[in-house]
Parts: sequence; C-alpha cells; structure tokens
Amino acid sequence: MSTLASVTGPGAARLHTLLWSAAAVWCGAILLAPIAGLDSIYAFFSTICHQMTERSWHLGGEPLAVCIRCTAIYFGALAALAVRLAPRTWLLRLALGAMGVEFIAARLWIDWEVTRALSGLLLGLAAAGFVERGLREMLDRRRTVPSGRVLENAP
Amino acid sequence: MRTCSQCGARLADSAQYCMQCGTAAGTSAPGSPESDTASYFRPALIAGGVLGALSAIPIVQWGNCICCMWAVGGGALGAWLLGRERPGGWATLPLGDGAFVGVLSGLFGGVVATIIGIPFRLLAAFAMDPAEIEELILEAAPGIDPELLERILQFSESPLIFVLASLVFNVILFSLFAMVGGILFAAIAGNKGADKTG
Repeated sequence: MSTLASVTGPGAARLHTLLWSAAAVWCGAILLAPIAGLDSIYAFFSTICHQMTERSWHLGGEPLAVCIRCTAIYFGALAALAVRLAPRTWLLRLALGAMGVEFIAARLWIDWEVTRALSGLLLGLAAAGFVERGLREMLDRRRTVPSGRVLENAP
Repeated sequence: MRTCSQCGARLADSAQYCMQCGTAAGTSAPGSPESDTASYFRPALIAGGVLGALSAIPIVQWGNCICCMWAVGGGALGAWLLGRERPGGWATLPLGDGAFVGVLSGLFGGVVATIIGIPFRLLAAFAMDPAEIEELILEAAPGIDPELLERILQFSESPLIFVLASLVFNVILFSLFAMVGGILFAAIAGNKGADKTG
C-alpha cells in the first residue's frame, strides 16, 4: 500500500502527528462519553450529530456520543492517518458516491447498521489523506510571502 | 521551467513540493491573482452567508446534525465559487486553496449564524421561562448531570454570555468542517496533482 512518507518533510511529519493526535482525542471523546457518562461530551457532539439512540452503537449500555455513520467516518479517518493511507481521488469519489447511495437507500428500502458503518468507514478512510494534504498545503502557502520565499521564522 | 525558491532545484509543472528540500512550490506565479489573499474573501463571504443562514434558522439548522452538512457544504460552495474565478476553473483548484477558502467561509458563517441566531434566542428567552427550558433539556437528556443542567440554565438567563459562547463555538466548529468541505470539493473536482504526488 502506498503511503505519504515519500512526500513528507520535517514540518509535514509534525503536522501529521498533530492531526493524528487531534483525531485520536476526537475519537477518544466519542468512546469516553458513555464510559464516563460525561454529558458535556454528548452536548458538544449534539451540534453535529442527531445522536439517535437506535442509530448508535452502545458501550456499557449507553450510546456513543455520535451515530454509527459518524463514528465510522471518524474512526476510518483515524485509521487512515495511523497507517498513512495515501489520498486517492477515485477512492474519494467512490466513497462519496457509496455514501450518497446508502443514504438514499436507507430511507427507501435498506437501512442496515452494517451498510451505514461501511459507507462511513470508507469515507473516513478516503478523506483523511486529502484533509491532511490540504491542511499542509494551506499552512505552507500561508507561510510563503508574495516573492515566493518561505518565511525563515515560520513555525 | 519552475525552480524551488528555497534550494533552486528544478520542479515539474505540476509539482506542489520540492522533492529535494520539501518546500512548498505553490502553483501560482508571484503577484498573480491567485496569490492575492483578497481574492478568497468574496467567495468566502457568500459561502459563509449561506452556511451561516442555514445553520441559524430553526428546523433548517438541523441539517448540521447530518455530519455538519451545512458547514461542509458551505466550505465546498466557497471552493466552487473560488474556482469559478480562477482562469483554470475549479478543476485546477489546489487543495490548500480549498482548505483556506473553507476556513474563511466557516469563520464568516460562524459570525453570520450567531448574528442571525440572536433574535431567535431572544424570542425563545422571552417566550419560555427557565422551568420550561429545564423541562425541555430533561426531555432531551434525561440523565443529565444536575450541575451541568444548572450551568446551562444560568447560561440561558444571561443571553450575552450565551451569544458569545455560541460565537466562539460556531466559529471553531464551522471553520473546521468547512475546511474539510473545501478540501474535499477541490479533491473531487479534479485536483490533477493529488494522486501523482501521493
């Protein structure tokens, strides 16, 4: 499997570690909510997920902080960052298409946990590499002055 | 032939990084419209306005409960608008530009959502007494920690703190998800160099 290692510089390695750590904290919070019974975490994630109990996985009898589809997306992204999965445009298009089909199908005839989980996982896996690369490009670009030179004191 | 601004190594036309020293190569000539930060503002303002409005209007705002749909969509809209203003169209939009216009869209969107949300919050504050708010919260989260409930109720009684907290929360969350939207749009719209450098 191809990786991003061949195009990473020293700054990129730091960014990768930072991004992976942030993703780990985010996913950890999703698991911590039911384990520790932290309502503040549920409240935070309630703004970005419907949190329907019947559409969520449970841990110790309590639902996770987000639904199955969201959980799969975030953990897919975390896995992709962990193995440094290279971004592939065709995979991202496939993942978005699959999620679109699954989303419509779930409202019409097939609404299975496994299809929601798989479509979310695929999207997370496909998107993470692009997010990392986009973030890196943006930060590199912001550090570059109009003359094209990189600022020496840039972090 | 393009060369690296840092080490002088030759770069391929599609290269985004120098393979010798790792410095960002950039895709736009210095001083060109692409390198002008101001060119990001118009698309970001429009996209931010749309995402902010959709995220503030009651009922419609629930769209954000589907993987932060309005924020992600707003970032994608910003990237699409930015790409339309570029000579090569959005098919050549770099991921970094998609990310930057996404972040700006999220920033503007957070501010717009907070401003539009003020009258709705005031309306709710006048229309409901604390007991009703408490009842609603307990319905939504029956096992809520009493201390947290107390803090939320205190928040609801002081609208200014509530608005400021909403502003910070909206700006951070919308910027994050709109950035992802901008990047993903740039990626699927045909970032030709994305696969090659991976």
